[in-house]
Amino acid sequence: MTNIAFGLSPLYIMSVYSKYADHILLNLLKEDDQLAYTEIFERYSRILVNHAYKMLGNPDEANDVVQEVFLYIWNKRYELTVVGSLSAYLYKAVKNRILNHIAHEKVVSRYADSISNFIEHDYVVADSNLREKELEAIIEKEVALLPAKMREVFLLRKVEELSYDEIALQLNITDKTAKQQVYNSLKILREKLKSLMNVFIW
Amino acid sequence: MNKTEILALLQKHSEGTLSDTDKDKLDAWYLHKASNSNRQLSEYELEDSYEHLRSKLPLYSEPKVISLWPRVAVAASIALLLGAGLFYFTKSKEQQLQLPQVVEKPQEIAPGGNRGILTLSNGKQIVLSDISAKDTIANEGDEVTIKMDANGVITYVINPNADIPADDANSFNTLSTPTGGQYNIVLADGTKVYLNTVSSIKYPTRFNGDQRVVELDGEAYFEVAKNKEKPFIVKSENQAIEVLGTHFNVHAYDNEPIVKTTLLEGSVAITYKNQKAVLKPGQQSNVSDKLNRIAIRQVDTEAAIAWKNGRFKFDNADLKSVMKQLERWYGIKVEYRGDVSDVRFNGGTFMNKNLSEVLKVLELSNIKFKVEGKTIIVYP
Repeated sequence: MTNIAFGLSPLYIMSVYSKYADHILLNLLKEDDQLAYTEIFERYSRILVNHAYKMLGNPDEANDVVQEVFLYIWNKRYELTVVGSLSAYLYKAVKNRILNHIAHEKVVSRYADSISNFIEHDYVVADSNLREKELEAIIEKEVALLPAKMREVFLLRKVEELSYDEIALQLNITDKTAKQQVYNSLKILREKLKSLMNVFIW
Repeated sequence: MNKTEILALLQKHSEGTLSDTDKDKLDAWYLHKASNSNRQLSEYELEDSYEHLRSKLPLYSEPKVISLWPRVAVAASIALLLGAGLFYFTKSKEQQLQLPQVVEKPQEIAPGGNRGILTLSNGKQIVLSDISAKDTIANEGDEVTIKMDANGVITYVINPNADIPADDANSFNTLSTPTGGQYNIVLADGTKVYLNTVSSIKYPTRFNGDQRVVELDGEAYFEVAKNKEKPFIVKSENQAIEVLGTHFNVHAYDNEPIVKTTLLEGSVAITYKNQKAVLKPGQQSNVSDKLNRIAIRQVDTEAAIAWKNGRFKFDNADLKSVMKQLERWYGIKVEYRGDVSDVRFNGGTFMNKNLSEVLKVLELSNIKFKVEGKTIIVYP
């Protein structure tokens, strides 16, 4: 009468994938790896929904936009071309869908004044490099605004893709000290993460 | 600009016919708006939306537990189904008129292959299957060169001219495999490691000090280079294996209760808590917290290391462990319906086959499989 499901624990497999850098996940996704896809979702769904909500002011619309983006990257997984970082790619995908969403008679009124005011008074010409940097700054700011617990998880996952040299550079310490410090803090974060995962991810 | 002009601008953007200048204006507005918006979803709302999206997207998720219903419930549900069936029948006729019939072809699920991810001591990660130039792939300081041979095997070459910093701490690399990946490596001391799927091994790029210590998560087969002065130690979750030079297989997946060590040649010492046991060739030790001791038995060593030779080989294997192998190798999810706990498997097949062919072989043991996307349903 009783029956046990003895599947592979998703927590175990996902913990392997949570150690992979974004570019590795992207690579695996292109090879039809559903776990890599799931890990990308775990990393980015929350900040993208929050970002879409900033622009749209409606949680349901924000959900729809993010759902479309994630469906798209799964359906097109074999032919995805990502230039630059995965985070910038996802933000741009969300941006395009939001602009498409605004481009409707009924929705445009909500934004028309803001767009025309900006273009007429505040717009300054810039090259695409600067726009990239502005986008990166927004991503950074939005990560900082996530609720503390979620931010920690996100940062832990992102930190693992930075090399120690890069972290050393950012923190202004030598490479050797960086290794030890990063190793120590990752260890602490991982322990925290273990208990956190049970509470709010799974 | 009035509303009509704005709408025209946005529609051109959707069609992709916007000029670069206008596109930059729209982008600039978007960035401006995003960085000045104070809207923020609460933690509760974010969780809500996370759950909502999870239910809508093709994500990997926990296998479902489906238990058998008591007889009464079955009878009741048959009555229910009959009713629903009638309704469905009439309804579907109606739908057939409107909708073209879409028949989805079951897709073949391909086997895994040579795939690995190398993490260098500076934290950089490299996808090994991507590398086409089969030579030097990275350096660890002046002392160690990491090379890839023609078969894709990674080797660590120590530069004989480099100074050996006596007190220098080891710097570590990690080789890891995703679902459907296996990878082979030769460590700095000449030890060969075959890493099975969804596994990782952390090792120093050169072995300083008086021991050779590596950490394993998952499954690997070792051919340890002989060195009596420096014992080789494999650490896993709850056990340590100490060897001098020998061939053995370690099966230590985090999500499986038993850590299995199988010895093919030489001798190894297993340590678990404060217990110690020495294995003879042909023996396997089983260690688990449930057992709380080291159990030793005689096994078919061929079956234990079949994976390294590209085979599935089952020696009276239980369904659970067989399906776990398939889950890791094919990146699938398994669901069980009905009581299948006493099914055992003997025999084998090749790992380079599509999943459907492997399932056909397993079906000879009085069990049935149904493939739904990436989920395999097992029933008696």
